[in-house]
Amino acid sequence: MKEQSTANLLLGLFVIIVSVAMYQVAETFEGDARDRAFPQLLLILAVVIGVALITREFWKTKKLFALSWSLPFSRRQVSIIIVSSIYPIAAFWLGFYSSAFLFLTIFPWIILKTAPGVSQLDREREGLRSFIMGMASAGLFVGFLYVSFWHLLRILFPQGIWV
Amino acid sequence: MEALTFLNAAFFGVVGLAAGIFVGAVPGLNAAIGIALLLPFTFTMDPTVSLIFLGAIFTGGIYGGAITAIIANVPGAPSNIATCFDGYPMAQKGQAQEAIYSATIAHATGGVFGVIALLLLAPPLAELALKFGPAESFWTYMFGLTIVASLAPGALLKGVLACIFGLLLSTVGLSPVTGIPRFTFGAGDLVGGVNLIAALLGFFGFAQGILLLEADQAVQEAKFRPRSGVFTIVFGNIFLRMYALVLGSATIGLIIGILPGAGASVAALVAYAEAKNFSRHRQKFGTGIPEGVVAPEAANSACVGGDLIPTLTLGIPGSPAAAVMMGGLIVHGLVPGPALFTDHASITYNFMYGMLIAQLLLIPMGCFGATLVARTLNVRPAILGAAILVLSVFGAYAATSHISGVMVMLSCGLVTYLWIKLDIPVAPAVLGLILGKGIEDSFMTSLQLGDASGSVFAYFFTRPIAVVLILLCVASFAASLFLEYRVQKKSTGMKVA
Repeated sequence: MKEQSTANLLLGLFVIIVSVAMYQVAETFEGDARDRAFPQLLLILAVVIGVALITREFWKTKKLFALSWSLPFSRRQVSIIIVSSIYPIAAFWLGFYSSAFLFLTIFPWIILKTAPGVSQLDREREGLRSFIMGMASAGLFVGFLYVSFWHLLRILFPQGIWV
Repeated sequence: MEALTFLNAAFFGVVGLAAGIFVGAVPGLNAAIGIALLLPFTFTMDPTVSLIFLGAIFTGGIYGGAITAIIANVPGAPSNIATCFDGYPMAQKGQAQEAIYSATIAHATGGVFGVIALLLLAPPLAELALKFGPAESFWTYMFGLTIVASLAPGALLKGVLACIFGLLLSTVGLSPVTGIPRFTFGAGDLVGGVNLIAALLGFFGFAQGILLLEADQAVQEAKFRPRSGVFTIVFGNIFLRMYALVLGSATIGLIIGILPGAGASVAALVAYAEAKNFSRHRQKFGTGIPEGVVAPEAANSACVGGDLIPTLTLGIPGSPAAAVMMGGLIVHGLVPGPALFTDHASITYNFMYGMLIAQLLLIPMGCFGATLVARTLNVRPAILGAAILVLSVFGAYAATSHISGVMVMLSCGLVTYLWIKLDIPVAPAVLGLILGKGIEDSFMTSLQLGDASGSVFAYFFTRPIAVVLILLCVASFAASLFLEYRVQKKSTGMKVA
């Protein structure tokens, strides 16, 4: 709950800062006032919402010093976000189909969670089973994508290092 | 429709329905995500075939979760939550097959009811919308925006914030007034605006993929073995004994569907509650009776037809799935509104007939494919999540043939992921992005016309249809505030308890 309040406070502050900055950007538009009117009106509204969010959180929490400043992300979550964000960019270097195959095979295997209390042997067996399943489903899925996009829709994707 | 197009439509209708049922059955996915992910496959399709395909995903997506709700007490989508109440107890009593067949037949019947209502009500509403000038269009869009609170129950401020984000995204690109570039930051690829498909894939696909990867867990074993002869008994039971319940629930679903904001999940819950209130054996609800499955399924299915009425005629999507569906229309150059019923009448009517056939096809596909659908629970979420990420990347590139599409998808996906963590609803942002251009265009044109006619105020506020629309906006916004107040009050009460 405290984490949510902190996050809301930070969100309110972030909205205000970004909105003010974007308002200044809108001021630099080359056209006349009508080009700026709609986005600037929206940005003013965003500032109002940001202020309302902050005010509400202060009102709700009462004790400011009770706020917690930790963010609700575990190390596992952060690594999933980072790899998921890198994959779309890496696809342009590795080629779409090959990167998809690698991503689908390796990533679910790496993040596999085993139940606590499972023996090392069982864990290794489950890992191997997961890897083989991942590779098989990756092969099928990438094959489906290849047939759909390349043969049926005639859409070309970057081939990266394979050119 | 030509023979080849008809065959294509039939094929893609069946494929779309199967894909929709799959998407609906998988916990964490829903009709909106299904439509967004499969939208790139429609690029080269004939618009009619494409719309039938997307409509079939919509239909299947609302239904699919009923099977997993009954077999494993896991509603695949929010629209099937009420189906769990009696469906799962029926399965525990060894009547899973009866429950699934009841749900399927009720769903198909409710769906047919909804689509017939769409066929009857949409044309006159579109005719009325033809009388709209820019001021009326502006107020219609504003009416669409008042549903934000309904899309974000208990989080009105954050819902409005998300909507503003979507509206701001719609301003990226050339200004409709003088054609100067806005918020492009020198990127030539953004001059044409934010690509809608790439953004939708980010909002619905990429973020959901990460969540599935995070929530990776051991798969559930779900098995279902059908017996012969059950279908005829259930079919007779529904049409001879429960026809009034089906019709009543479908009517509730239709009305709730037409109202912007309240979607299939609300329709199913209200229909379940009403079925219980009007039943002579209300104490049996929750113990596993077919009526408890029939009512919510007939309602959530009729909701689809109702949902499409304001979407097709006024360009106001009533639910996230309808918003993505609207994106599909726009991608194919079909701007939702009265023009759909005049300039593109054949496409629109073929789409609606296609929806009707899709509802009927649900019966064989749902009843006899239930064994396969039950197996969706055996799919590991991480593999599904990774596949969704890959599909989002492929779709975003296919939509733009440029890295910019992937970047837009990635940015929207990461923003959405953060929003989910901060309890910010994503549906209002999609609504803002889709309605944004229309709002700005109609607002600017109204200003110019009002100026030319002598009074901007009179042009905006005194035209008869505009007055009605303003009153509707006020009523809808007041209802939203009331809803927000009730949700806040309920959550405070729960915390105290």
